[in-house]
Amino acid sequence: MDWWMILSGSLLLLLATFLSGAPLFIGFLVVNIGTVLAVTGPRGFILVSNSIFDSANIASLSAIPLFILMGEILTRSGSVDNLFRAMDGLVGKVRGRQYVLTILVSVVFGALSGAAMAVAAMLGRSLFPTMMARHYDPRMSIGTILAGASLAPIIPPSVLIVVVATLADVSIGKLLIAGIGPGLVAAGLFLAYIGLRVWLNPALSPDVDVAENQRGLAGKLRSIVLLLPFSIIVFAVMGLILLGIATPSEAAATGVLGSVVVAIIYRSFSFGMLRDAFSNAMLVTAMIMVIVVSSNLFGQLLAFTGSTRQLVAFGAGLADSPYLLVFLLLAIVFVLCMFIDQIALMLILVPIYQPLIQSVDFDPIWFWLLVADFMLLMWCGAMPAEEPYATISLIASAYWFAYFFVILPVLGVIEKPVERPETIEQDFNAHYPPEPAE
Amino acid sequence: MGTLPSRLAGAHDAITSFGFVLAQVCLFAIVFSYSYETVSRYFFAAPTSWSNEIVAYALCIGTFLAFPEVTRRKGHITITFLTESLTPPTARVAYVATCLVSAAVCLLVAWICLQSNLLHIRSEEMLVRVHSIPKIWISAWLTYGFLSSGIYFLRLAFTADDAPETEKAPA
Repeated sequence: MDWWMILSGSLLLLLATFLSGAPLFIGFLVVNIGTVLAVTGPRGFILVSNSIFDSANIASLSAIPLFILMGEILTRSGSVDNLFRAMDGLVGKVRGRQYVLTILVSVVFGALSGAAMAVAAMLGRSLFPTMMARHYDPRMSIGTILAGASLAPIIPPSVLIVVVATLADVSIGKLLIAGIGPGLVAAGLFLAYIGLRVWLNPALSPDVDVAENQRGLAGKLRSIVLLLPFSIIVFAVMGLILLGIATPSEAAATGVLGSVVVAIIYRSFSFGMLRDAFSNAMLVTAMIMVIVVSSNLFGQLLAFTGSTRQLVAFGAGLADSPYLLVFLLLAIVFVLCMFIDQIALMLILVPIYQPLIQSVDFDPIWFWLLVADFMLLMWCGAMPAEEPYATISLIASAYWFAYFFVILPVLGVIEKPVERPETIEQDFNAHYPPEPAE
Repeated sequence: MGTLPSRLAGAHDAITSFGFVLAQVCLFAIVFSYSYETVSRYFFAAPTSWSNEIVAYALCIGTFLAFPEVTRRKGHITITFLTESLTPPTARVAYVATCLVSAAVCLLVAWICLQSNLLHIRSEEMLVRVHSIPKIWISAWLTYGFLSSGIYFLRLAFTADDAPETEKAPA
């Protein structure tokens, strides 16, 4: 059987199973077992169990439950409410302050939680009712919340980044750290967009008041003091990774301890809350891990059937047109994101894309960050084509264009690739110039 | 006194609930192991030889102990925009069909894992790490997870009276 028949047949079967409403992990298992049967027969079943066993025993994936647990503890203990209060006081009297507040809270909560859904739910529950009560524009409010939530998977910690880095076999720590810059640049662009919209149309933001006890320098100081405990978590996670003290998974574990300490400081810790946080974190972890372990064989089978080698040959053919290749790769993400869950799509695309991007010498860190970021923005496209989703998608598209047309050129200026030497000798001479003859 | 099927279902639920508690203990073990490792290595220059292994095993065991509970709560991630557009009777048929297919797949994988387990026992295969342990100690949980989930899918197929609940994983 030709490689392209196996590849396209596998992908079609996968899509059909997904769209039938079956759990995603069942789709991966059906395709993997079907391919094993077609290629090797029942004697190849051992590959299925070995693959599940090996991928379930990857210690670095433990960052997934730990990041989820950290967010659960902060949310269930009510510590996040203090984050809102503190940021509310710090934003002060600016036009469009609820929009600004949404983005700033998203940045800080994105640095405390690894899940976009958690941030979107939190903002929707807490800030959206306030925005409506103060007669803010509903379309702009929802768009701002979606934009803020899209920062969570980029700004570390991020569950999606851990999955992608593990599958693509790139450094989890480097990929997490690589997200800080783009996350902050994106937040800055979102704020600039908000400023522009509110300046053009002041009716979008009718209210600029701040609470009485948050006015003045004393109010700002109170807000900073209220915010300080969260620095424990930021240091426990990103600080330890940046200082080289802990691996991402170890940093995630200390982040969990940090979130417990923060809950104690805010006097909102209880063992009942901790039990609920562990319970929910384990449920979400099992939900994600079962998909990850079920899908792992997919990439190995692609290599086994020769599909990977042929894909690399295809990529080599496009090596002279890297922008065309990136366009093609992202266009596929663009379309599939509308139908398939983000993590499942990553599990399908990583084994297919990874050899391609290696063959054309793309930096895997930046490439996968771009894809992860892109997928989150496409999340809006996964909603039904009806109100209010149509309006949400319109607004989210505006953010999306800002993202693509400003962030990437900025990164292109900041990051200059080192020119590849013609020969090893040339590289050696560049580092160790030959001594002049006496 | 219930009927035999309801008592068996009750026993299955009890085992699943107990397994889920153990899964949470596994998560606690992960938090403890890595926190201890970080403090021990950085402050006392005494890295442990066991933390990575404990974490890897706890993640694997915890995942497969919690797996049946996720199935029982219909918590698996699904894509439902097509099935939601079906009429209720058709949607119910589709739901029962996907449950039966899911049960068949899970039970087949459980059988495949069981064959591997038996091979591990016969060949006395060890996990070669810093501290070697028999592979069966860890691989047996895969069989448990898929077997129990397969049974839950069967139970869902035969007791289904509502549409599946869907839950989205955090990205």
